[in-house]
Order: sequence, then C-alpha cells, then structure tokens
Amino acid sequence: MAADTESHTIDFRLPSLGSDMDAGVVLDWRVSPGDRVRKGDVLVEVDTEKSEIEVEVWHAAVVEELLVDVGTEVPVGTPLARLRVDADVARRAGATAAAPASAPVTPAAPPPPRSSPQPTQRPAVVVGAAGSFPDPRLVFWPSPAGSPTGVVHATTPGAATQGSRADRRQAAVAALMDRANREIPHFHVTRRLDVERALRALEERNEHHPPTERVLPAALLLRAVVLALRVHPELNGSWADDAFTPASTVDLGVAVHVRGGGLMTPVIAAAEELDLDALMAALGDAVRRVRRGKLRSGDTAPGSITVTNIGDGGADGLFGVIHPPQVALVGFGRIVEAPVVVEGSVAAHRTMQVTLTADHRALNGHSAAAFLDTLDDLVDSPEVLT
Amino acid sequence: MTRDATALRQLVVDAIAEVAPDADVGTLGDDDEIVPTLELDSMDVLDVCAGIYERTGIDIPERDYPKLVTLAEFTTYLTAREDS
Repeated sequence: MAADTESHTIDFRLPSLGSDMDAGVVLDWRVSPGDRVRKGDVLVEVDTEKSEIEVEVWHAAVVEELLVDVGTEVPVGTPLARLRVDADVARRAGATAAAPASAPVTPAAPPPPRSSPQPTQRPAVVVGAAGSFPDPRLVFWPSPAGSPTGVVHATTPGAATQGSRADRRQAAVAALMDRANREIPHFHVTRRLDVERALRALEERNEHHPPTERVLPAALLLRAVVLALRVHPELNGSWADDAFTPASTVDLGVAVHVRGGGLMTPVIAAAEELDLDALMAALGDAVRRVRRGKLRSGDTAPGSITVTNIGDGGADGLFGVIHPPQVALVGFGRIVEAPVVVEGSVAAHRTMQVTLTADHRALNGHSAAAFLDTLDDLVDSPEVLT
Repeated sequence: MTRDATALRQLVVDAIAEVAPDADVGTLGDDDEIVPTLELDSMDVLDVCAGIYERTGIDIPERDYPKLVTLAEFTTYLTAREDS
C-alpha cells in the first residue's frame, strides 16, 4: 500500500475556554504562515475577559493562513487560522473542526449582530446550536453605540457584572461554587498525616540541588495523591447524567491563589505520567502561568480532580467545595509540628491535616476513608520521592 | 565581579519583581517582612532563590531561608556570601 502523503487544510476554530465563554479578542499571533507547528505549540493568545489564554494547537500542522487580525473580537467557533495537516490527522479530527480535544468547540449560532444598535439595554441571550443551550446566566449586552461591551456573566439578578478582570474571575468562581453547592451532596473525611519522614527525605534531597532543581512539599503531596488515585480510580473522573465516568488520565486541577483576590485552577494534564521532578516542573509552570495571567487553553479543561491549599496558609485543614463535574477535592492544611506517638513514645513531628471532600452520589464513606489510608501509606513510602 | 550591597539589593528586588509581577515590589521597605507583605507563597520563595542563583551563582540552601526575612537581611546575607 502506498504511503498516504495527502494533506488536508482544516480550519482551527476559537475553542470555548470556559463554560461561560462566548467570544474572545485576538491579542497576539505566535505563528506566521508557513510555520510548522507541533501538538501543544501556542498558536495565538486570546483575551477572554477573565484571563489572557494562550491557545495551543492540537495537531502537528503547517500554518497556511491567519484569518483574524489582532484586536478583533470573534465568537467562539470562528475559524482563526487555516492549518494543513496530514490526511490521517484530518480524518481523526473531522474535516472542518480541528479543535483541541480538551476544549470542545461550541458550535454556536452567531450572536445577535453587533453592528445593529439597540435602543434600550435589553440583554440578548445567546442561544447555541440545537441541543446546546449555554448557561442562561450568560447575557450579552449591546452598548448604545452598537459596539459590543463584552460578555458579561451575571450570577444573580442585579449582581455586579461588569468591572475588572478580577471581578469577572471572581464572578465565575462564585457561579461554580454556587452550582457545586446546589448540585453536589458533599461529605468530608479527614486525617492527620505525619509528614516528618517525607519532609526530611525531601530536605536531604534538596540539599544536593540548587534552587532551580529543588522540589517543594506541595509537589510531593501531589505525587502522593496521583499515586493514591491509581489504587482508587473511583475518585478521579466526572459525574454527569446520574453516572460516574472514570477518567483515563489524572488531570490534576491545582487551586492557586491570585494575589489581589481570586482563585484560578490550572490543570496538570496526565499527571500520572510525571515523576516527582517533572511534576514539580509542571506545578511551577502552572503557578507561574497564573502569576503572569497567561493561562493556556489546556488549563481551562475541566480536570478530573482538584487539590487545594497545599500546605501554605493559615488553616489547619480545608473542607472545600468540589469543582463540578469532578467528584472529589483534596485539601491540605498547613504544616504543624505536633506531638505524635511513635512506638509508644511521644515525639515532635511535622504533621498536616488532609481532607477528602467527596460527592456522595458517586462515593461513600468507606471508599473515601480507604483513599486516606492509601495516602497515609504513600506519604511515608520511598515511591512518592520518585 | 564582586557586587556591592546596593547592587545586590537591586538584584533581590529584580528577582522578586520577576517572580511576582503582580505584587507591588516598589512598596517593599528594607525592614518589611517580604513574604507576608507581598503575599508570596513557597513556590514564589523558591523561584526568587532560583532567580538569584541564575543571576549570581549564589546557591541559597533551604536551611538559610530563615535569614532572608527582610530586604535588609537578604542583602546582608548575599553580601556575606559574595565576600566569602
């Protein structure tokens, strides 16, 4: 059989980078026509009003044409660029909808024409294609002059909507927490972990490395969680249509505090493939992306589980709120030196409270407690340091 | 090249500003506690030390972190490391 050397031109469309995203402004093209891109390369930077996001390309391809100028706002689903991909890639992706698998394209009907001025500021609800109604709290306000003022996310009637990026981000978090609280029957199980041995091993390890190669306790805890999920896959996945679907990878959401207020949850995809050093690098990259306000499209993917408050901060423990459609959240409290009993004697060890918050539709106390058992064993094992 | 205290202080400020572009490093006084004042977390602290390592070659071990509480202390520490 002759080798398939055909290639196809596909449209790379603006993906939906969040449940409330309706449109984005092209900020900066990172490629030019003729460039060859690999999977994961950043194609373009887009402003979604809550964050600047670097949109990654999902297939190896050659850039043929850039279709949208910098500064232009376009609805989700608009072709941004034309890419030439190999025939088999095109077949897998579908001829015209080459969108990243982690950020499904919402094929929306075009929103109300922005050029026609509205006499009054009545909200126009954007309705998606048949079968896909966007969140009804999403409203699109045309301004009196006819040019769009941007997408606004109203959480409750009369709630503050427009405002700074931080306000909009907070509104998005509020909406998610609100939904989680309404839909998910939360329960919590908690355990005090003795982390003295783990921290000493980490310190010993870090002693022999410059700061550029050190590993933080946070990364070690993430590693322990990922390893524990191998044994307890029922915590890693999503709940939809009255059923749990396990995820095939551990896409770890990490809650990162944003200075000035707010919370962002970048995602470390396929965390189970990363050893401790790689996980530390991924964690550092994720935190730095949040600090610079430069998220990647992969960060906006839902994630299969979230870990929060990993060791910093003033709380002994965190009993959190699950991020739907996930079914579990792992919260770590601060490191506290405490008396522990070791072989009949009291010693001063560093400890930390870990809390598993779980969705009682998907999980029960037994499996939740078993996870904590496994986590406790893993924190002390050499495996977590690899 | 041996840097003096002023140059080292600036290096620390630059390293912090690079790590925390969203923090107001300009408002940091010499005797303010860096971490709580700028709301730095453990990742930020590590990145600052990494930035200093990359700029100066000075490897700050974890056990010396308690000596770096304020900008003044940080500068004193680095000056002593430079001289030795």
